[in-house]
Amino acid sequence: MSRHIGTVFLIICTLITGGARSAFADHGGRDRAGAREALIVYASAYVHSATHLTPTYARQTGLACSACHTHFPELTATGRAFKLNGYVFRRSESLEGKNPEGQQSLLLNLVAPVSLMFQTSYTSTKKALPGTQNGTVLFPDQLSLFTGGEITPHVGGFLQVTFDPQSGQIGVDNADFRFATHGSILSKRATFGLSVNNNPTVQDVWNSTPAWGFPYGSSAVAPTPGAATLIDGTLGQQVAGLTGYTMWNDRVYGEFGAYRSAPLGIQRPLDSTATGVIKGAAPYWRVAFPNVWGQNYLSVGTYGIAASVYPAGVSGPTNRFTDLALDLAYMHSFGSNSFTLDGTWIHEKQTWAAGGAANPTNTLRTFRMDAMYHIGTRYAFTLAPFVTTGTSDTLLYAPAPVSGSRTGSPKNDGLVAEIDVMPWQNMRLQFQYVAYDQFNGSSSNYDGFGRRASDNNTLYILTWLLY
Amino acid sequence: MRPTGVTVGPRLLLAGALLLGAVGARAQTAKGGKIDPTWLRADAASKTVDFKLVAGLTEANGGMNFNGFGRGGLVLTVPQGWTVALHFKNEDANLPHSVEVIPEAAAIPTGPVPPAFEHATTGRLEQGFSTGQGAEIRFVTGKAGSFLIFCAVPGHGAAGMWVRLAVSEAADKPALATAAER
Repeated sequence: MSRHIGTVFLIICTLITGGARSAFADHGGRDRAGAREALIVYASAYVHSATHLTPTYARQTGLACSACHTHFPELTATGRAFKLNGYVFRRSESLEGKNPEGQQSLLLNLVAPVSLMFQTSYTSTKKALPGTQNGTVLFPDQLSLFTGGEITPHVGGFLQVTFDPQSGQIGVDNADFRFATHGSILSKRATFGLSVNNNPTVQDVWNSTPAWGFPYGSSAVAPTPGAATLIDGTLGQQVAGLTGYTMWNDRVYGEFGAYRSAPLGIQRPLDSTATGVIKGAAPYWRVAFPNVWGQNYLSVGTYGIAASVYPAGVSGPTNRFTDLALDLAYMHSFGSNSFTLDGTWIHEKQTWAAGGAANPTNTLRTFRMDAMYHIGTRYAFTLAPFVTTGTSDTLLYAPAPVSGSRTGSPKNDGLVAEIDVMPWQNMRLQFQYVAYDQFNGSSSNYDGFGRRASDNNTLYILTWLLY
Repeated sequence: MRPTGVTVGPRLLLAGALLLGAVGARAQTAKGGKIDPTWLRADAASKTVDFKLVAGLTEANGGMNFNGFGRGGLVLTVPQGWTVALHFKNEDANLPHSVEVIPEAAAIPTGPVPPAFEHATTGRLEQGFSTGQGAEIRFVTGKAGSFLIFCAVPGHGAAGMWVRLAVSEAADKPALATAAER
């Protein structure tokens, strides 16, 4: 069966990547820093790959990691339900307080809702970056503190605080606090909720959207393509948003909200020194249609955001970014093994009324998909093609050593191949290879300084501990 | 905790499906943890037993229970050769659940395993059935022995979400009893 699925996936990969291409791209959260520069949106000290689970929840629920994750942070049905219902499901003991009328007024988890993630890594590119030593060891690669879980019977949260070894700073990473309750619509059960979060799609329960999408760990030091859409991590930790959601009958999910600039590490209130500030608030929307049949689970959906952004300051003309995306999340179970497929396609229309680009309007399109075969909870094998195309713009994608584009094109495509070994559910050894066919517009001399796309092919070995 | 059953009509649906948060809170209505005689109905003529099986009936074990029991605390005894009809419904407000009948095991499986009897499964074992959903299981107890009625959603059975099925050559009618939890 696994051979059959592998064959099907190779056919899909061939269709997507054009057959013989060996190109690859890494689209982890870190590469979005380059995108921010390209879009002239804003700078941030704290942007990380946004994809981690927390043993905090395992302690709260008394469930093993594998109850909520096929392969963390990819969620199972239990994991999606836990998040959708506000992170409040609990089997651990609690401290209960009551007011004089006997009503419950406090319900505190007796297990401290804290856990730690430690990553250490080795990165090697096919050709060293000019003037640098190849073979980079990061110790730590990333160090995060997690807290969250049940706060009241209807309110729970997720908060990640991360130390970045390159900047030497510690800061708020992903955050999602939510309220959830239940009712019925048209005689069918519905879950209603509100989420306050700092990264569009971090509140999503599917791994097909950017914040929790593959790759779950990627190199912080390897070159990554310069172009990324606004919703593809560019706004992470730069905004605060309030969204309301409904899951109806486990068949229809709808969410609507808005995000307003709330960058970290700069003076407030935002003034003329700020860059990339959203004018007013940016509307965000999400619709998904999940379904289950037999041992199959499929969700197809759409999401997007529209933002007008001041290139500098908080007044004057703005640039407009409208992102419209489709996504798909599929899972098939083979007893203790499973196959998952997650993918998204994002189309962004850019209107540069305030300048910053050579063209008055541009488009940027990203497609990526990851197919993962899980052998129990111990092994996972992944192939993930990635393609970005868009309008060439000599100002947005200008020549520069390694990070620039000779052609002014944002195009890149490639494949990520990954093997994960998890001797314990809270310990992972990740072996990842990222291969590029085109990088910032071409295969050879892509930056105008003689570097080939394949020179950026990256071996990334990551040890990941959670406790 | 249980939903209070907030109902929204079609007209309000259009205006309010995504305007959330103003919906009433759930009330706590724990339903107890003892045997309800209405769960079991036997027909000796057709050798069929109907058993109402509710996931998350109470808040015991965080809702991860069948009819309020877990870790083998409830035993359904059925004469060998009878047909068992399990009428399964999930009332757990938080988590999806599924059901399958599996052989007795020293270590409770962490996920789906082959059922002990043909058709003794709800299907959707990994994904489970969400709150308010359910399924009917109908199988023949072709062999005597000790079995588990087990939630096969990964991690749930291992967390104690299982009760017992005893298929007996000696019994002449179905029975329901409590037992010491394991």
